[in-house]
Amino acid sequence: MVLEVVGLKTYYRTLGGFVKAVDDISFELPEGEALGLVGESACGKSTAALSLMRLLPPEGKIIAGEVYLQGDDVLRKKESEMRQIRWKKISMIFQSAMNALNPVFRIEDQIVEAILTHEQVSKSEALERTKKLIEKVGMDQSILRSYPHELSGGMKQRVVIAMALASNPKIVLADEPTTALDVIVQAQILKLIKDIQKDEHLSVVLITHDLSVIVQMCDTIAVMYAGKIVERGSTQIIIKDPKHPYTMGMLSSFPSLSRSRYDRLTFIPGTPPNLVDPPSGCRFHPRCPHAMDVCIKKEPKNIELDKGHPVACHLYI
Amino acid sequence: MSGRFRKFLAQHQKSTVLTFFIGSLIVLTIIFMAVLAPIISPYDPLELGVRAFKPPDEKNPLGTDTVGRDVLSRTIWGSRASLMVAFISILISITIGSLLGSMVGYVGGTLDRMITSVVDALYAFPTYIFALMIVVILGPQVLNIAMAVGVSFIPQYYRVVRSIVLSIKERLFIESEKALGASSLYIVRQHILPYAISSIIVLMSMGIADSILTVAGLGFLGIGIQPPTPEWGTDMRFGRDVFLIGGWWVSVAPGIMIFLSVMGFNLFGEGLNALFQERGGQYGA
Amino acid sequence: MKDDEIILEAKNLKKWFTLTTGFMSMFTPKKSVKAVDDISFKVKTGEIFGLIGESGCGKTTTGRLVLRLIEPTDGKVYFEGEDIFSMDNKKLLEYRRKAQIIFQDPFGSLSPRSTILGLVSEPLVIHKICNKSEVKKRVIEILDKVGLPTTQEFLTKRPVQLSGGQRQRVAIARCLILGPKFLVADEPVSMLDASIRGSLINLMLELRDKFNVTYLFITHELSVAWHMCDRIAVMYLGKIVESGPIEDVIKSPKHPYTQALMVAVPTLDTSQKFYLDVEKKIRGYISSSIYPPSGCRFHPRCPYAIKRCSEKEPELIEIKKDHEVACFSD
Repeated sequence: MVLEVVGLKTYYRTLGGFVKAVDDISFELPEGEALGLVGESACGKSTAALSLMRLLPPEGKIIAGEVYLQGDDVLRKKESEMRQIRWKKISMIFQSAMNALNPVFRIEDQIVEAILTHEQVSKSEALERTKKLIEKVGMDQSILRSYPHELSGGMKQRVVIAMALASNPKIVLADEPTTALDVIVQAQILKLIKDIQKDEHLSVVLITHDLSVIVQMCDTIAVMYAGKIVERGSTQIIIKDPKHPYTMGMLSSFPSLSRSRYDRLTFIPGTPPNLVDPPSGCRFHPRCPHAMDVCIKKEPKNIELDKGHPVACHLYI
Repeated sequence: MSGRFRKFLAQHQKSTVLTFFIGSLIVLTIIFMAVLAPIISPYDPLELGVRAFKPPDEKNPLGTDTVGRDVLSRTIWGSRASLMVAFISILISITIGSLLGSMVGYVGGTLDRMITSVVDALYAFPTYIFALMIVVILGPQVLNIAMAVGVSFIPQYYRVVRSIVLSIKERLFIESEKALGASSLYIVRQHILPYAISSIIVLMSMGIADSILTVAGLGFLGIGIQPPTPEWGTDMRFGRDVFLIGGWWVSVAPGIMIFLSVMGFNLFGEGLNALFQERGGQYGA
Repeated sequence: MKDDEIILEAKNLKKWFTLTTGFMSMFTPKKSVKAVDDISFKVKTGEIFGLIGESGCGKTTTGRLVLRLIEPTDGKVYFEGEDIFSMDNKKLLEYRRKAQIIFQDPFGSLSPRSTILGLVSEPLVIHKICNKSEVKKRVIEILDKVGLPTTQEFLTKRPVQLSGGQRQRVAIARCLILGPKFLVADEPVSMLDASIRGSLINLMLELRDKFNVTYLFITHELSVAWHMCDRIAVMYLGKIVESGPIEDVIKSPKHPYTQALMVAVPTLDTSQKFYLDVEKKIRGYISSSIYPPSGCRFHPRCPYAIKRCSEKEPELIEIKKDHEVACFSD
């Protein structure tokens, strides 16, 4: 396992109380595979990613858990040690990262700077690597001298990917890498990520609310709801035989060209819960069609129905 | 009742509440002073007296001027002139400024460019000089002074209302109103102007302070409210003449009143502004 | 198609947005964004007609044109046979009662300072429909129809206190209270959470069934269109490249762009290997709408382009019943 997360808990301190954004999640990622972290807005998936990189804002604190990166627990590391790990072992593509490109610097300067910040190499070597990176992400070297505003959304996203790959990390976290992009560009970018994953034997954690993207890109899926992982397993199993009511609800409410036109899209009644004061017991119980008495009182523990397919639901306990 | 008051206190910063209360206190005092002048004034401010040029004593708590008029009474009555001109001029500036600003802002285009450049030119012109010019040309009657001050403050209201209209009219819910079939007049009246009201009220109080100062300035220069009408600026003029020969009391009282009223209205306006800002979330603008 | 079956028809519709304005524009050649460049289509009464395309294709502009929220550069739109661009103010107001729009942003489209009662009753006020005593009754009726609470407490709430799904229902209620026959839905669910999209989609379908409302459904999400629409038109750089019944267009697309879209849309099918085929179907990046390519707009990216494609613009030709394509390579 190149990445192992055990019992991660990350809370945010706010004026209204502690937001339990990530509340005891565990998952693992084998080398060279892609894991999809799927959930609605504010389910905690972005927070989980930031926790892995230890890039939380000041109000965020990792309360508990371990994160083993190639066997090493990064949560126990000092900030100075983390700087050696970020971008070199694990890097991240943020949401709307293409808008975070500095508008007053040329593309090549930004990538070179990213390399020089994390490694002790000469400027000329950084420049050489930058050129190769741009080619790897499918663009012509001529764009290196351009400014971000001269590039399209898709091109900017490729630059961001190039920056994330600059120091040859083993793991890449991609948080909604294609949400702001059009259909065709999204497909091109996802294909790029898939190709690089295969060529470099890269491990990817893909975070998105778009279930269909995850189905096409990932080997395993972890479904998050209100700060918890409610079900986890291989893509095949989760799609063909989902066990958790939330997973089932998501699947039957998701529009897809692969379904019949006349399939009635369902919906999950209610709204995602307040994470400062989440529902008692199972967090999904207010919206669950199968809710029982025990669901209100006790939090369901993970139970492995088949190997590698843990589900947190009282229906199976 | 105290529950609502507590909620009010909780919503706002201490400094804001303090500013607002002190400002309101002063403003209310001055308004009372003006309204109740006939009752609280010890003497008739125009009555010439035998006890001329007397320093403050038991009979005349603030002394008398060179022709025997009681300074305290003149100071109390002086608030009327200042407030009256201030209110009339504010009325002129707000009405013309807001109507013009909202109309022009909503319609936009060439009309907007033309009118705004004219108003900007007016804005660049120093208020004082402009008021001076009008009074010199038309004569120092109360109405002229009010008009002069009023017109010179039009640009401020115009600009604020116009910029609010510009920022709101592009928002999606305005398009939604248009799609429903609402007329431009309806949209401006119902959906845009309410956002401007809080800004206008704040500008109003600052504007009153400004106009009190301007009127007093004109009076001090001798081209404001003419004697024998009591007015703080004009009275300070008399005081200036006798200051050097030891008659300090004639100008001190009106001077302090000018200072207090300007500060009071400014504090009131600032406090109000901060109150509106801190409650901003409710109004979503 | 029989004439009385067609509720809306667009003919050679054009909207060019000029970029350079102001005094100095006299000295530079005029640049315009050719957002909608000569499109024609017909919408049948009672159907849900989808306008599909990526950003910049002109679908949103078309939606606005069809309701005369913006004026066209050229072309005509007929609603129930009448030319909407030559309507006077009185007729236009009547048109607004019959044709309405649901916006993409459920929060932005509602005035933040108004209450729910105010928002839903506003159309009645604007159109002076009923007297004051009736207003509240009508509002409650409509709220019930769109599945919202009708309590006094709810009526006094403001948009910021509602969820995204509820806001969108209020927006729908606002349109519905006028009793429209035609609704333009501009990406109505794309800003809503995945788990509640279904309920809004079902609501819109229900309204169509109960009140015979015709929809022009604008979206870039093919999967959503798949579940909603009866017929669709695919737009690219201001032109319609293919149109027809949705089963035909999606399952057997004829235009290379549509084919590329079908390959590029991810589905829940675990055996789809979509990322393998994208490169075969389309190259490069979208061109600018200010300087669109000569001839067929799609030719620089098309894997089947021939010389003719860069010289002449293809017309929409009916290749099968009701299925039209604008392409030379057939």
